[in-house]
Amino acid sequence: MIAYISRRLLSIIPSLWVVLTALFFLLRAVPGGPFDADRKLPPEVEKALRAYYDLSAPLHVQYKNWLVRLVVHQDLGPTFRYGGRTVNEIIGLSLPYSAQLGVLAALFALALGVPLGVYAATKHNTARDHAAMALAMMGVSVPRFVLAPLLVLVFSLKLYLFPVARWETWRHMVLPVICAGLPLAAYIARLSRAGMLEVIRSDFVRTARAKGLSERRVILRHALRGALLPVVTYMGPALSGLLVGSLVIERIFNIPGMGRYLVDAATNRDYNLVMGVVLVYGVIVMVLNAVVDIAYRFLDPRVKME
Amino acid sequence: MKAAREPAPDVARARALGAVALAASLLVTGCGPDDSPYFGTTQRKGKSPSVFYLNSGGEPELIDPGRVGEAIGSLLVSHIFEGLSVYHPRDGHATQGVAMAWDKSDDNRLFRFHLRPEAVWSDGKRVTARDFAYAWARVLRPSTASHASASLYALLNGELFSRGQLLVTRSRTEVRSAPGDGAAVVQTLPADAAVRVLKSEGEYAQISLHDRLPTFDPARPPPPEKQGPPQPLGFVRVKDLDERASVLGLRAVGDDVLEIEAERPVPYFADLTCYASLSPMREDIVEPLVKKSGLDAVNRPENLVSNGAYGFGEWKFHYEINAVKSPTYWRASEIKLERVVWMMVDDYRSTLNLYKAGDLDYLGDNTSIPLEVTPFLVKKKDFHRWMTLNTYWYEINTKKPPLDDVRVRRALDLAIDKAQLVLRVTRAGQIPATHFVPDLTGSGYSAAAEADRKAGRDPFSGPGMDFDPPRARALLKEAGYEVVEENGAYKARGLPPIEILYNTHEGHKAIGVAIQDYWRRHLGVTVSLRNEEWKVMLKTRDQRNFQIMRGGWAAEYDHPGTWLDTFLSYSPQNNTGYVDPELDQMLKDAAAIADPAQSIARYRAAEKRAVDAMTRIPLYFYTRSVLVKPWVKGFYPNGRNVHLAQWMWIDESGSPENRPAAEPREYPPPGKFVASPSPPPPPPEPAP
Repeated sequence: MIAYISRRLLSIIPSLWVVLTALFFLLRAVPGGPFDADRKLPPEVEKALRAYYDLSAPLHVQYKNWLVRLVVHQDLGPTFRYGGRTVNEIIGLSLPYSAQLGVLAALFALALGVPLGVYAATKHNTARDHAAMALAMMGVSVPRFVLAPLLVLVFSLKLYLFPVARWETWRHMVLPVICAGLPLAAYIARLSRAGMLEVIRSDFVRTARAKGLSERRVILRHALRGALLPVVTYMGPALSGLLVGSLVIERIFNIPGMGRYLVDAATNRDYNLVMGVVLVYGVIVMVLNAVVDIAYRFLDPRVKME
Repeated sequence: MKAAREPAPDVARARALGAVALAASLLVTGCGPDDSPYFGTTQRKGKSPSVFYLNSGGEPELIDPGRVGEAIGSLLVSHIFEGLSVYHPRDGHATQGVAMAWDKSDDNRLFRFHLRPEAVWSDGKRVTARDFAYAWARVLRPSTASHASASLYALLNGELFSRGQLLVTRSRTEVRSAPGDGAAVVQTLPADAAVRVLKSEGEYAQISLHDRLPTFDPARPPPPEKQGPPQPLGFVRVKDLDERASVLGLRAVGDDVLEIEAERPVPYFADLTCYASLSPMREDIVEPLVKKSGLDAVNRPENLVSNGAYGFGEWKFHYEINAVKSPTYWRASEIKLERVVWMMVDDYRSTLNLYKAGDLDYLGDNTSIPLEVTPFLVKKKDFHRWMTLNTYWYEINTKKPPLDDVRVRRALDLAIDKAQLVLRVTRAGQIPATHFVPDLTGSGYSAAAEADRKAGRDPFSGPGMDFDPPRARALLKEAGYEVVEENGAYKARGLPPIEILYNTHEGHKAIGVAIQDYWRRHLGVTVSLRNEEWKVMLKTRDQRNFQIMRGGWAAEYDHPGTWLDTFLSYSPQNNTGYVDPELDQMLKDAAAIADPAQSIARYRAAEKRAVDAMTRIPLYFYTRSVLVKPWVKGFYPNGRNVHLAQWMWIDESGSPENRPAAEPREYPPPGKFVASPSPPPPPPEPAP
């Protein structure tokens, strides 16, 4: 089993290398450079800047330097946009905010979504089921940039319950966590309902019922584990998106997380920062996917560890 | 220097979508027009009256004063450092900063600034003229790679020096006829001879002699600029040459006097000295730092020794910057705000929400209010709107037919209903523009514009200037493209389709669509629109791969020259390919006229000539809209849009009175520049 886990994790490295290498060259092929601006820089200044940031060497040399620096020193280099800051520093400063928000949002989504889905499944085809699923459908369909201002409007500007933005106390975290978690919760509710419906009809649940176990015990002890398989599959990519941060939520609630850089850094042609953010994103996505694969072995006895 | 910040395209999209939600939120919260005269809370709760909260607009790119370029960094540097002059809170003109008085020569070429002895650095040392001479030369040094280097091209030899093309011999140097030790010696130069580097060949450089050096004496001006390329003298070894700031028109005379000799007449030099990038810096701090940790180390706030009203406190990346009043600042006792908190909020919805909830006292100089909510906010008492020193225009590539014909360009201009454009499309109270320099521009321009208008001889209005479709059609006909009516619509015969290029942005798109419609409706011209992401468009511009392109200019100094100099045939900002030696000469002459009124009149004449050539179609002069809480005092709308915390204060008493925290010290009228009595010893050079 340990062999399987380590092999699964090691397979991430070549995939990451391919992604980053392709990105390295694609970024530099996009028209426009990091130092293009409204007011043209004098050519000497741009030359000096390019030399300072190691952009004047031939591409393959730049690539080699970048890779060596990354592998040997775990150094992602300087950003071109924020003088004096390194990519490592920026990721170190911003990732914790995104991760904190992401973990809280995921917990919130699970805590809300799974019970709702299970409840709906046990009340299959009743008005309560339909109501729960209509709610979930709404949660899936309302985009976050609509949800966030609505939450702020109602809970901050109208009811004065929570601050409108910023990231200071627990009260500041409530709205962004709900906003990030709600669409996820809705999706989880739908997945766990579907999973539960499938499991309830299977033989082992019928057996459990036949043994005379209480309905509550049947659902929680026997059916739930199987019903959550689709949720686990979904949580891998969903959580990675949450951990890296959401541009929309970070902007609206003014949270200094990492989500913004996925877009801003590319727009600014801040090559090193783009590479750094994609590296982090790639690692998180791939590791979580691996974790999902591994978790499968525990949740589903039919899947073999090999 | 303020460069327009362009939002990321997807953000623009998100903004457009979110706008609906915001508009709804404004309505639902019951902030209807009859609800409250102010937007949001009118009581400041739980906040000290000596702490000021505003939005910086985002994380600055650079805070090294010598390299700062963009608006956010410049704003911070203006608080942390103090230059020779400081922007006046009311209209942004230059008032006393580290300098107490200045002199100028009659031809606007020589300047002398007298420094105040009580100005000190945060470590207690005196701010001296040498700190300025060092800092300004540093801005120009090629190794500094400063975004602001062009702002000091005004100094004699500034541009050559900053391009690394003006060096000095280290010792007696032999000039050879060809690169290589074997070649014949043409001439032997003494030590410290200034040479122009024409080109480099391996270890050797081809040079010419450079005799245009500063004299700092109005009676003995340096030889005039030579026409044509310099005469090559021969080759010298590159390592025999040295970079030395003594070639620059800039020197410290003792601790108290800074002398400047300009390349060309600069009537607006005092205005330049307010610039963030012209702040003083400490050689004994900066040089060891750069040597040890590299150029970017100067951007770390913990490494800065500063001389401004404030010093950096806690800095949370992309979240918040705190600045604390500097106890060593020479005017510290007059400053009322002890702490300034710049939140970095780049979303306008959060900014407005934070303001509404009372977390922000002022939206900040770099925040804009979106169009969708201005109709609602415009009625509020804490809403302010005023004209700024920015012009929005379309640039025309004059190298490509049919736009190489001035009649076609003028026809396009005359067919745009600019009054309707600002009323219906841009909708923020902008002023329709028929020329390039905003009417409120200082240095005597606004007075001249007003006088012309009163005398009924405004060169920029009337027939041939204002919206006039029949005249536009006549011009097109004259150019060979007759406009005929077919089935109730116009058609310009033979005129090929025209393309407008803009950077991806809802606002630019709306303007493009409107103009497309004007030209189709009034001239029968087929117009297509093309949008490119910001940086891609800059490349397209530099390759001159466009017909008509959205552009504009924000003032670098409060003088018509900032707009008109971009029309010079050799200006790096001249994207239109238009070359007019007559206009070049007019602008050159205008700058050298001692009498400000006559100088401005000449600038106006040059502007008229630029308008007649219509290489850019002026569309409107920008306005600025902000929200400021009623308790903020010392805030005045000014065309430069610079609001320094040192002039502001907070008054929670509800009194309507508004005045700066302290009266700015005006400069006495400039004295006459006479040569320093005895030439001072040359300033010490840092070891290379």
